[in-house]
Amino acid sequence: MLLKQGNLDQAVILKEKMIAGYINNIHKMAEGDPYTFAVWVLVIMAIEGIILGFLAEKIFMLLGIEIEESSHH
Amino acid sequence: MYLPISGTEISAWLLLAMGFFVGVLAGFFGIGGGFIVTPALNIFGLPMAYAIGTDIAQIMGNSIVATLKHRKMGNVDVKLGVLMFLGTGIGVKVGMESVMYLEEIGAVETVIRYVYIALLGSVGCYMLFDYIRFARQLGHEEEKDIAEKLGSGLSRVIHNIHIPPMISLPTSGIKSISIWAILLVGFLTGFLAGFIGVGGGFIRMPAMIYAIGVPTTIAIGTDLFEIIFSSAIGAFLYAKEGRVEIMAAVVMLFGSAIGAQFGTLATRYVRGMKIRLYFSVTIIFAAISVILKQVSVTYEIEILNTAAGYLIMAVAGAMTLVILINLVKGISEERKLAPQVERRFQALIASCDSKISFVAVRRACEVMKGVDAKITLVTVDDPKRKVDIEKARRSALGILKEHNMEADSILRKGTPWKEILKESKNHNFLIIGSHGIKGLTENVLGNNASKIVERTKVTTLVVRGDKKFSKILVNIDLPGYRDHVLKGAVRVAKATGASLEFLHVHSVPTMYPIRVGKFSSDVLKEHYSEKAEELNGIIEAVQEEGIMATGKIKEGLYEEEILLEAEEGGYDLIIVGRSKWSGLLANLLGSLSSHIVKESPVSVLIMKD
Repeated sequence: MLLKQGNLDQAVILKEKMIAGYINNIHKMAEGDPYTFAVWVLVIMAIEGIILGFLAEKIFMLLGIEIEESSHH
Repeated sequence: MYLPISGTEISAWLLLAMGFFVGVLAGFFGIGGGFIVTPALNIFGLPMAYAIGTDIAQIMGNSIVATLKHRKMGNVDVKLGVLMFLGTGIGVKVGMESVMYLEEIGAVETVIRYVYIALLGSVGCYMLFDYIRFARQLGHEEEKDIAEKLGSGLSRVIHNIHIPPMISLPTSGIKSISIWAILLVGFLTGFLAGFIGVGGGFIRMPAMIYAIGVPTTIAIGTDLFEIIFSSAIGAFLYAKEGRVEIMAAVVMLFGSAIGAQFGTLATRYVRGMKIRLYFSVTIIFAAISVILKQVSVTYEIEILNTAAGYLIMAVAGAMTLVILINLVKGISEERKLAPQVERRFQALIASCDSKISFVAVRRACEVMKGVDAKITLVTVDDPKRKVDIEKARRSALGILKEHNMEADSILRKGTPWKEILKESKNHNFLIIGSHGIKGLTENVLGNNASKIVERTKVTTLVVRGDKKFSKILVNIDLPGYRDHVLKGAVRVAKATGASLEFLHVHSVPTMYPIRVGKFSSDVLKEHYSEKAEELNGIIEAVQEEGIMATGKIKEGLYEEEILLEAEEGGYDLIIVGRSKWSGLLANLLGSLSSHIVKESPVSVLIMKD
C-alpha cells in the first residue's frame, strides 16, 4: 500500500520493522520456549518436505517424466 | 540472509545450492549427507553446533521427500526399516555411552576421528574392491545385476542363522531371515553411528546390502525411511537446545527437495553395482577429508581444516554432476528405446468385476466390428477390493469370444486408473466403463475414468449406461474442423449403424454481454453463415458414405451446451476432440473432455490427434 502511494522511505522502515519482529520472535521462541520451538521445527520440516515432494512430482509429470516401479529388482 | 539464532549471515543462494547437491546425493545413495553439509555450513560461518542442528533438521525434511519418491518406485521395505530402526536406536545409545566412557579416560576426539577414518576408508575400499572384482569377472551389466541378486558371502551366512522368529521380506526378495540377525545388524550400525556421532546412513546402506542381502535400490529407499525417524529425534534434541537455524533449514530444504527428485529418479537408470562404485568413491574422499582434518588438529595447520571442507564439497559437486549426466543419458536412451506403437489399430479394453465394465467390453466389440485390430484385455486387481478377479477376467474374455474377437489378456495388480494408464501407453485406443461420479471424494478428485482421460494420450471410449450406440452427437470445431474427429465418428457410425448429429458450439465466455456488444449483427450473421456452409459440406460428405447425418450450431458455453444437447436429444454417445486445454492448465483446472466425462449421462468418445 505504501509503495503504491509512492512512499518508499516509509515502506522500507516498515519492512525493516517486520523483519526485526520476526527475528525477535524466532529468537525469543528458541531461547524462551525450547520445547515449542523444537516441535515447530519438526512440524515445519515435515510439512515443507511433503508439500515440496508433491509439487516436484507434479512438475516431473508435466515434463513427461513419470515415476514408476523400478525395474531393477 | 540473517540467521537470528546464531547471529550469523549466510547467502540464501549458497544454502539453496548446497541443499540441491546434498539432495541429489541423498536421493541417489540413501544417505542423510551430514558428512558433506555440516563441514560446509561450518566453513561458511555457522558455528559447529548450529551447523549440525540445522543440517539434521534439513535432513529430516529431505528424507521425507526422498522416501516418498522411493516408495512410489517400490524401493522401501517398511518391515525391514522398522526392525532396523529398533536395533539402531539401542545401538546409538550404547555407542554414545562408550563415548562418555572414553571421555572419562581422555583422548576421546582422536579415537573417534581414527575410528571414523577407518570406517569410511574400509567401507569405501571394500565396495570399490567389490565392484572391480565383479567388473573383471563379469562383463555385462545384466550379469552384474545377477551378481547383485546373489548377494555377498556375509549375507548368505546371515540367512543361514535360523534363530526364531524367522520372517520374510518380500519387498527385498528375502524368503526367510532371523529377526535377531536384522536387529543385530541394526544394533552394530547404530553403535558405530552413535560412537562417531553421525547419522549413519553411509554405514547402514552398505550393511543392508552386504549383511542382509538387500538389493541396492531397496537398501537406499529403506535407509532413507529410517533416516526420517533418526533425524527427527536428532532435530528435536538440537532444536530444544536452540541450535537449529530454522530459516536456513527451510531454504536448504527447497534445494534438497528438488535435488532429491533427480537423485531418486537417477537410481532407475543406474544399476546397483554402479551405484556402489559411485558411493565408494564418495566415501573414500570423505575419509581423505577427515584425515586432512585430523592432520590440521594434530599439527595445528588451520588451512588443512578449510581444505578438508572444500574437498568434500568439491567431491559432492562432482558426484552430483556425474549422477545428473547418468540421469539425462538414461532418460534419452529410454525414449529412444521406447516401444514404437505399431500403425495397426491397437485397442486396450479395461475390465474389472463391475457390470459396467462388461457393458464396456460389449460396446468395444461393437465399435471394432470389421476393424483389423489387435485387442488386449487388461484386468486390474485392486488390493483395496476383495473380488474374484480371475472370474471377472474369464467373463470379459467370454464376451469377446461371443463376438468372435481374439484378445491377449493381462492381469495387473494396483490402483486401477494408474495400471490402466501405464498399459495404455502401448496402445492407440482405450475402452473403459464408468458408473459416473459418486460421492464427495470423486466430485473433488475425479473417478477412475476422469483421471485416465485427464492424463492419457490415446483415444478413449468411456462407456456409461447400457444403451447400444444408435444416435451419436459429434462435437465439431468450425471453421477448420479436425479431420480425426470426423473420421472417428464415421468409423463408429459404420460399425454400429448409428446416425450422427454434428454440433458446433460457438463458445461464449462468461463476459458474453460485453463481447456481443463489440460485434454488429451483420458480422455475426456472416460469421454463422460461413460456419453453416462448412457444416453442410460435412453433412453431405458423410451422407454420401451411407450414414444418416444432421447438423446444428449453438451458442453458449462449450461443455454446458454439449451436455444439454446430449440429454435433451436422447443421444447414446458423445464424440469430442482432444481437450482445448493441455499441459499445466489442464493439470490445474482439469481438461474440458474430463469435465464432459464427469458430467455426461451417456458414453463419451474422446478422439486424440
